[in-house]
Amino acid sequence: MKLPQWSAIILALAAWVLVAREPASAQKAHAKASVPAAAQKAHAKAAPSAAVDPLAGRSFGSKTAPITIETFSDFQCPACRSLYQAVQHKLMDDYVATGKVYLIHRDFPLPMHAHSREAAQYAVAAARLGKFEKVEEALFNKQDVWEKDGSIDAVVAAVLTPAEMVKVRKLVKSGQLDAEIESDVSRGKNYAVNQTPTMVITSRGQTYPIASVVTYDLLRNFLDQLLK
Amino acid sequence: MRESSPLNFSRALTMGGRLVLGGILIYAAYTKFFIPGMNPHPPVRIALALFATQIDSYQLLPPQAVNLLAHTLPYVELGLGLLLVIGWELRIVSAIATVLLLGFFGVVVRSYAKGLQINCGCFGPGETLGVKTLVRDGLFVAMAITLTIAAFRAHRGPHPWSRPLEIPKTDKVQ
Repeated sequence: MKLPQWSAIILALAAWVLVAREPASAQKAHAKASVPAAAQKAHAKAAPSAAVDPLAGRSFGSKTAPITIETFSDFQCPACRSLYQAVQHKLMDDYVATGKVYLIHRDFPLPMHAHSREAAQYAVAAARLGKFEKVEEALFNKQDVWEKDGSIDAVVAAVLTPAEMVKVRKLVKSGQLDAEIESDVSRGKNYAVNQTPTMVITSRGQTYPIASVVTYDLLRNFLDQLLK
Repeated sequence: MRESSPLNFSRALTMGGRLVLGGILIYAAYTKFFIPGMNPHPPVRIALALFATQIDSYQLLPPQAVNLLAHTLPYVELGLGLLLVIGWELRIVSAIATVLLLGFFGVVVRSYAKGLQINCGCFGPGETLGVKTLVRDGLFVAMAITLTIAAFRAHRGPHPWSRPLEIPKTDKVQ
């Protein structure tokens, strides 16, 4: 008689342990295998790895930073380019490099943009090689060029070596990057993201959405308030 | 119901209008001080800094002016809302509220016409500016204008063409 009762208790305990160990859905992306401290530094060049960490190369700064910013972006969206050009570099220098912010790029290609998904694929492929920043900069700065004729490959090729380009093209053609992009999109939908750019800022367990382009001074003011 | 009765239709409508409009303004201020849907509420300074980013998305003002507006507008909304609810100097307060709501409406229409995909910021973050926002803000403006007209009409004396007041009968002079 006792055996089934004990086994039920053990099973229940095991289930509880499993559930407790499972990170909350909103934290799943952060809860991936830990990376070496050196790799967590701002502007860190992530080592090429095959689907080890989907954020490798697309996230910057320390994972233990008090603030996490997830930027849901579409490479073909003009407002995303404006946000990138107005905010990205200053944010990296002032907050990411100083360990205050953990910055994550999330792809949120909108169906209305013909080439944005392909651009996201190139960017994710470049992230696998640790070249995300270069490709991101090229895609945004040359948005006017490739959005007309879809010449993404040429724009990316201009900033990567031929050897890197071969790997990027192979990854893009493989179709294995779609899952990562879809994962970002579904994560955005969990945050009720419905436009780009949207920055989802997490601090002390609270999540603050900022949809649209924001002036750096006001973003800095908001981040400073969060850090107080 | 007699015109002089405290429960006449016009008076009841004015009272309902100022309570609704006052309530809306108080709620609008509340959502700026305490972001709805967040438990526990973040400190007011964080909520106002977030509100500043929402004002900024309208691309109308320089950062300093945006900051100033973000730190004053919720207090103005709260003050006007409370004054409307208590009914103090209704003509002046409702006129100011009308001007404020007309300003909001104008800014929202401009942003929609420009195709800006932004958060309205009217009642906290998370509301994308769209047709629903325009209709709602338009209704608020209509309500405020109606209230202001009603307040002025109530304050005004009887119309010169209106029926004269009944004169109590007196004994005829012999």
